[in-house]
This record gives sequence, C-alpha cells and structure tokens, in this order.
Amino acid sequence: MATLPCEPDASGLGLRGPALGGPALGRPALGGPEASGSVPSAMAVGGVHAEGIVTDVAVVGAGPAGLAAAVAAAAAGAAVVLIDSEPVVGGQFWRHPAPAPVSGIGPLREAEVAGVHHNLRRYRSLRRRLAGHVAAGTVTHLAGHEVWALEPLPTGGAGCDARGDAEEAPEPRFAVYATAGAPGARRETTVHARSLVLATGAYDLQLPFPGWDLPGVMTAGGVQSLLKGHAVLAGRRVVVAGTGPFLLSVASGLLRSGATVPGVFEAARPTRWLREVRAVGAAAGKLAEGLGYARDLALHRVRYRTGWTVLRASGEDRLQTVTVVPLDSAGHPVTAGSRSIAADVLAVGWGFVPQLELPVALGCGTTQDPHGLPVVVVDSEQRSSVPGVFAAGEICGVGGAAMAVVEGEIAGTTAAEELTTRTGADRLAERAIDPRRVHLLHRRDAWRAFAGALARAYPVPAGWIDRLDGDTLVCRCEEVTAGAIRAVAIRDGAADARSAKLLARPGMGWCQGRVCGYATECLAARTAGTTPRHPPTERPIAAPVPLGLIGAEC
Amino acid sequence: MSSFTFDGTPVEFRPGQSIGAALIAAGIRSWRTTRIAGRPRGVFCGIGICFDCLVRVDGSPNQRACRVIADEAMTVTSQEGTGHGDLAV
Amino acid sequence: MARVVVIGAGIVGAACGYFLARDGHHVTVVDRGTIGGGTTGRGEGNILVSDKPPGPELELARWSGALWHALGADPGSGVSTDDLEWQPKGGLVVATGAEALAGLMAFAERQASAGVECAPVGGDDLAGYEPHLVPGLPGGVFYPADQQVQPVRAAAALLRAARAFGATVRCDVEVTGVRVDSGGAVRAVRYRSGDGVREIPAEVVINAAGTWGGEVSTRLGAPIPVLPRRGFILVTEPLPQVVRHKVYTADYVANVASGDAGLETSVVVEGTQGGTVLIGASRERVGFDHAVRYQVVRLLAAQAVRLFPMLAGVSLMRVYRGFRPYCPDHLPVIGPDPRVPGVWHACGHEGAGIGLAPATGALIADLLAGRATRVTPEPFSPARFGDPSAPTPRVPGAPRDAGTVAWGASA
Repeated sequence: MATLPCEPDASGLGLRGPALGGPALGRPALGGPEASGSVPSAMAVGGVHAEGIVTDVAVVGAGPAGLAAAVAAAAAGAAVVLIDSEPVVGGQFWRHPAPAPVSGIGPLREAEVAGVHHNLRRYRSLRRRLAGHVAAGTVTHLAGHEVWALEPLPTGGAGCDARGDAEEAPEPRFAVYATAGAPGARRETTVHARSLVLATGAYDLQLPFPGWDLPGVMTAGGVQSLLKGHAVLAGRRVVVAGTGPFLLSVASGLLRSGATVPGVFEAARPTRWLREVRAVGAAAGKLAEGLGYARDLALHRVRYRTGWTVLRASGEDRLQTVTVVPLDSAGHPVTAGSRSIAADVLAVGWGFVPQLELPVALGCGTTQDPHGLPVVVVDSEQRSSVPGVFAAGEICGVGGAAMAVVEGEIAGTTAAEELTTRTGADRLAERAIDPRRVHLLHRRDAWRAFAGALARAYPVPAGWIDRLDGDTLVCRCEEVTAGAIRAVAIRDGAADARSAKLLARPGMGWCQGRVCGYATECLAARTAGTTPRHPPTERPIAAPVPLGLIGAEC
Repeated sequence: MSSFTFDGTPVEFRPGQSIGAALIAAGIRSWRTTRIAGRPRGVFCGIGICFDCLVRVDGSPNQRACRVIADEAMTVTSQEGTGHGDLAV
Repeated sequence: MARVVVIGAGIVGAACGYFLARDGHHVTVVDRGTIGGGTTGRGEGNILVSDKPPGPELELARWSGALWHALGADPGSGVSTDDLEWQPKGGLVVATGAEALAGLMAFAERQASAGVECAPVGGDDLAGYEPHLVPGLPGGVFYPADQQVQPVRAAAALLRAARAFGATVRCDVEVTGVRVDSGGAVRAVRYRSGDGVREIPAEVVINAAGTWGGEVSTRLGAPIPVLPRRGFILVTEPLPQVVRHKVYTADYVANVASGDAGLETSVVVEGTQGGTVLIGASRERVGFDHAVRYQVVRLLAAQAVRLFPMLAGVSLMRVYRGFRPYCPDHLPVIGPDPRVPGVWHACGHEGAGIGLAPATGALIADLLAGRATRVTPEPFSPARFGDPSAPTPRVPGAPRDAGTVAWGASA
C-alpha cells in the first residue's frame, strides 16, 4: 500500500482500527482492549491547546532514524503518530520524490532516482513495514506536517481520555503542534503523546566566503535534494567543494545524472582516516560506498583534489566563476596556485549541523560534537535526560544513515516498551539478553567509532575566517557582513553569536541563525580573542507559522 | 507536461517536483531580491532551512519554493524585499 | 571623585556608568554575562509616558524621556541616534469598548494635569494614525512623547560613551560580595575569578542587576525585594512599515499596576527599525520559570490579529521571554542603602527599564554629588522597605577578621 498523501484521513484526526487482542508476545495492548491506534480527543487539558490526536509515541522526523523508530514502536505494540515535514518518508539521506497523482503526465518515478541512492533495500523494507502499520491503524503518518512547537503537558493535567481502561494508559506528557497545507490554506494539527522520539536530523554546515550569496551557489545537501527528491540537476557544470565524504556522494550523483563536474575540492587531507583501521573495518559497507564514488570520479576523469578549498565565487547576478586554491600544511591558501573555473553551480558542504531546537525546547541535556556543535545526550537506550523523550539519529551525533536506523529502532522499541505495564526490572533483564538488542548496540557502537574517526579526518578547515572580506555576508537573511560582526566584537565586546545578534542582527532573520550561527559564533569569538562556545540555541518557534492560524481558537 | 505560471510565463514541471526544482530545471536561478541590498536569491540549502528561496504562490508571499510542490493551477510570482510591499503605510 | 563599581551592564547599569563617568568618577561597570544579556535584551525598547498615572514614576519618566531626546540630539553626549535606532514615534492607546474609552479618557485627563502631552482621538480618526487598525473602535488617545530605541544597542552605546569618559567595562565578572571597613562602609567589591575571589577597590557600588537585583542585594548585605514577572514577546517576519506608533489597548495600564499572580495579557503592537513587528504583552509571576507557554503565545497572537487584522497572514518568526524586575509597590529602587554605606541600588524598573534608565543614572549621579535633584528621590529610596537599623543577615561561616567582613555567597 502506498504511503499516505499529505492529508490525514477524512476525519482529519487519525485512524481508528480494529480492537487489538494484543501482539503475539501476549503483552497487554496499550490503551486497553476497546480501541487501537491513535484516537481523536477533544481534551480539555487545562490551558493547553486542545482538539488533537492522542497517541502513545509521537515520532518527529521520518528520515532513517524516525522511520526506523516508528516501525519499531508500532511493532512493539504502541500507537504511533509519525510527523514529518516531507511528503514522502526518507529524510535527507533517503530523499525520494513526492507521490504524484496517477493521472499526471511524466511523474517522477523512484527508479529514476534509484541510481543515486544507497541501501535502498533497507529503505524499501522499512517503508513497506510502515505502510503495513498505517493500514493496520497502528501508525498515523502525518506527512507534510511541519512542527512549529512542542511543550510538556501540565502534570496530572485533567483530560478525558477517550479510551477505555484509562488507568492502564498514562496521561499524555507532551503536546506537539504542527501545520500543513497549501500556501494560504494552512491548518494546524495537535498531537498529544505519552512519549516522544525526536529524530529531526541535520542540515549542511555552512561557512561564508566571498560571493557565496550569488544564485548558483548551493549547499551540497541542496544539490543532492534536487537530484534525489526532484530528479533535477542543479546545473550543467557543477564544482563541488568543502569537506567531508558527502562531497563524493554528491559528485557521484551528479555524474551519474549527466552533469559535468570540473572538480571536487576537499579541504582536508583525509589519509589519516584510512589509518584508523578498527573504525573503518567495522564500517566495511561505507568503505565499499566510498570506493564506488572513487570509481565514478575516475570514470568521468574528475579530479578529486585534497587540500584545496574555495576562495571565492564570482559573477554578476549569478555564479559564473569559482576560484579554488590549494592550502599549505598550516591551512593557509597558496594564492599563487589558485585556479578559476567556469561553473553555473557550486555545491558546498562542510559537514552537518544537528537540528536541535525541539529537544532543546524540552530541556534535554546536550553535549558537544567534534565540531563543537551541540548534540543530544542519550543513554544506551536513546533516552534523553527528560523522561519520556527519546532521541535518535544525527541529533545524537552526526553518524550517517546506518547508525540512525539502529538508533531509531532502539528508541522506538524502548519508548513503546516503557509504556506497557510490565515492570522496569523485567524489561531490563529481558533486554540484556535479547540477541537483537545486543546486536543493535554493538552495531551502534561501531558506527559511533566510525563517525568519530570521520569527524576527526574532516575537520572544519581552519583559516576560513581569514578569507572573509569586510563586505562578505555572514548572515544571508539580514545581510550582515563580516565587517559588521567584527565591529561589534571590537567595539562592544560582543564575543558570541547571541551578543552579536542583539547588536548587529545576524541570526534575526527568517532562518533564525541556522545558516550563520556557527560562523557568527566563531567570527565573534575570534575577533574578541575568546573561544567559541556554540551553546545550544533556543528556538521556541521551530518553523514560522501564521499568526492567524495559531491564535485561531483563542 | 504540466506547467504553472511564473511571472506570467509558463514553467514546465513534473508532478511531484517542488516549485524551486522546476524553476531550477527551467534555468531560472533567482526569483526574489533581498530587502536591504536588493540582491537576487534563489535556492541555497534546498531543504527548507535557509529561507533564501522565498517566492509568492497564489498571492501568499514568502513561501519556500523548495518545499511547495508544484501544481497546475498555481500562479507563482517573484517578490521584492519583505514580500509584503502592498501593506506599507 | 569616588571609585564606583556598577553591577550590571544592562540599560540601567549602562546609564549609571555613563552619568557617573561624565561626572568624573572612576567607574567600572561589571556584568557576570554580556552587555544587555539580561532583561534589557528581552523587551521592546519602549520609552513611555503614556502608561503612567500621575505620581513619582511619571515624573521620573518625563525627565527620562527628555534625557533620551537630549542624548540623541546633543553631539557632545557621545551617543548617536543611529546607534540607538531611536524613534520618537509616539504612542496610541486605543479603547476597545465604550466603558474602556471612558476610563481611558479620565486617565488621560489626570495625566494631562500632570503635564503629559496627550490628544484624544475620535473613532473615525484612528485610521489616520494607523491605517491597519481594525475599524470600529470607539476612540483612543495619542501621546507624542513616547519613543523607542533598540535596547541592547542603546546599552552598548551608553557604555561606549561612558568609556570615552574614562569608564571601564568588564564582562564575565560575577560579584560575590563587598569588603567593608570597621565602620561598615564599602571598601571593595569582591568577585569570582577562576578558583578564587578577587577585588575591585571601590567606595560606591551600584546594584543595577535588574531582575537579579534581589540576589545581588543580598550578596551586598542590603537585601531589597526584587521579584521576576515573566513576559513573552512575539516577533513577526520582517515587514515594511505597517504600524507607525506603539499601539496598545487601554487595559495595558491596569495590567502593569496589577498585583495579580495569574496570567495577565494586554495587546501591544509596534514596529521596529529592523522591520519586524513586536507583539506583547503578558505578565506572570512564575519565578524564573523559563518555559514557553504556548497558550500565552496563541492568546497574544489572537489579540494582535483582532487589533490588526492584516497580521493574520503574517508569520510568527520568533518568541522570546524575559523577566521584568518588580518591587511589591511597583516603583524602582534608586538611591543609597541606609544599611551599608556605599551600597546604592538602581533596579526594580519592571517593564519600564529602558524608558527610565537615563533618569535613574542622572538621579544617582546627582545624589552622589549632593546636587539638587530634578525629581523627589524619597519614593524610590531603598529605605522604604523596612527598618534601616535592623541587623543585616550574616552569611554563616563567613570569615570574621577585624576590618574585613565579607558578605554574600561563597565570598
């Protein structure tokens, strides 16, 4: 059965399936025998936006981690709501085209983008299992729904729970608010969940450089998204630059789709990576993937230059030329060696920023990843520091899709099991010897080691700050230059992103500092002579939302 | 092939593509200008994070072109600055 | 000339630093965080007379408003209007019903008698002031003297000007207490540094710690009751100018004066130079609870849309919250503390900190210099809270050397 379109079912409030007698293991069905799946409820929870779907586990994000979590939670007997802003599951790594109406001429077909995908078997298996759960009513898939906020529900909140056996099912602990719909016709959906699995993934880390704001300069992830999700080549001649193995994946996809790639310019010299034998050995699949990329590049005679980076992008009102330059062993550009390359697109990527606003809003503890960026702290069962909130995938540490799937399965299973009435001791004992769980933990540890090695092999290239001109934009939304940020750092001691924001506006625009936050923090600190701290940023509004919509019921 | 109009001109798209993807495929690189320096912008991050690709769809400004799935009936127009110039007093 | 330490690099601390440095004192402004990192960075930057009934706070506000004007206009001040994003935009208070209008008019009349410039606006004339205002409101009052600045920039600008007059500004300095002499007068301010405690010699310490003024006052041995009152502000996407003045409904004033612990909201809408529209206002006594309550966000959004229907299609981009510092009698604390010679307070300004900052700084400077003051200082005096001769609480375990008495947290 195909995945749901962007609309929820006709009632708009979730599916009601046949009463469950309980899964094969004999565990009591969650929520009692009278109902299954997520139920609509006009809950009068004191002071909280009512009229929502009530469920056991709400999973936010349907990338590899969220997809795996939703399937695992449903398999473990929970009622699940999967909330995702895309029309099709897969997130970034497994991005696929949106479903097209059958009557459409020339709709995108999965086969077209299959050539640029990896591990499709795993994806298709998960998607199939999800579809099965959706059909059975154990998962409600809210596709095309963007979460703008969430909050804990008042403890002991009054609420008429429409299910029977209310004493078996604990009260929902969280409210998740999401919007969906066409421009100008948005509507809001609220989900009340007993537990949450947050799997909001990551987005491209960006470093400013002169000319990066020209149309035609895109993130590596953006170029990949156009290809995988829309079967569109971002351009005819695409220079790929930055750091990280993702560049190879992007270049390979472009080449297979017929673009010309004048060169791939990797700032790091990652031969050290190959020396971390243990980590690489555990990730044999990744190695094979890497070799596949190398073959693609060789086939098309595309140079993969390490120790090179982009100096500037030039053009009138669109990109026309990319200037790349070799770096010396200290990371400084050797200007004499610079080359200018004609191109219509420059795909840049420097790593990934975990997207943390939802766990931060709930108060989840964080720590720093190798780039200094905040990630959610989780235990071996993907529990965050907030009871009832699980986290999985890139937000726990950038480590790729395979690790995300493993973490998602652990999180989903644990979240579901916690909601049954069995005691904790029983569960722990059983889990310790559960071969599946042991296997998952082993694989996750292996992926973590691999991810750590990767991060060390592809650091953010030092010296990018020195390549900024005074008039290079740092904040694209508010058009704040490097010079303006330096000025407030010097004049007013603004040594961090937040102070710079309050004085010069970087981070005050539409993207709320997602793109420029890392760079602003580094630039402000460096100018003021301190160390960048990259504290987790609070964004109580996770996505812009029309005022008329959120106040509609007040 | 289906098409929507962009500033009055038809732009072809394949059902399932976003407006941004269709515009890029048609060779259109930018469809708005920034409010301070009037600089052109189009797709940057492609995944809905950067809000560079804002465009007006059926009269509603500031829609992320990379996230709105194209539709036959849509009227897409480029925008300047805040996109709400008509509200200025 | 005294050696002065000002605790707090927010708007009030900045103003105190500025006026004291201008007077020639040796001034150090310290903050445990960054410039404007507290409540200063979490408000709207309003400078109002419109919301104040006749009384000491109104007098302070009128003086302060004139000082903001002077700061911007006088090249010798060292502060420029560009730095402040200063807008003398005026305030429009509207009534949503006949009864509210009657109350508003009576209130305005009292204010007029106290010298506040205000003009009644009939229902039909409101659109001339604010074209996007919902039609059908019975009327309002316009206050031309209301102004707005960007508060963090303003604090930074005042501190720059203070430095031009010789002051020093030090961030990441957390004051732990004071060292007093055998007579109990302040000799130095103590602060945490690495694993130990260091000192800045000073005869005068100004507690301008805003919402943390209560905590700091305890550390200084001169506790005053400053409590937090949480407020949320909604920020829209950038817009062209759609709201010309600060616009709010007549119930705002009742809210400000209210002692109710529960949630109070009123409708406040205004634009900024940056292009966003700010929407408020809420007041809750929930201690320092940082959580964002989305029901409040929704309520503020709904109220704003009812007042300005074109906001319905405008996106909410950001929400921030702050803790207004208030005293039980809703007046700030400004002046020398009778219990510890050398300790002065300049905090507790609730939602009027930006507006009242220059007059606070100027008043402190005048009092310190023994000059005649432009307003009567007694209503703001720290002495009003209790018996000045009562012994101040000692920190258990604090060292007792002759000539060195350390107060406060882990000093």
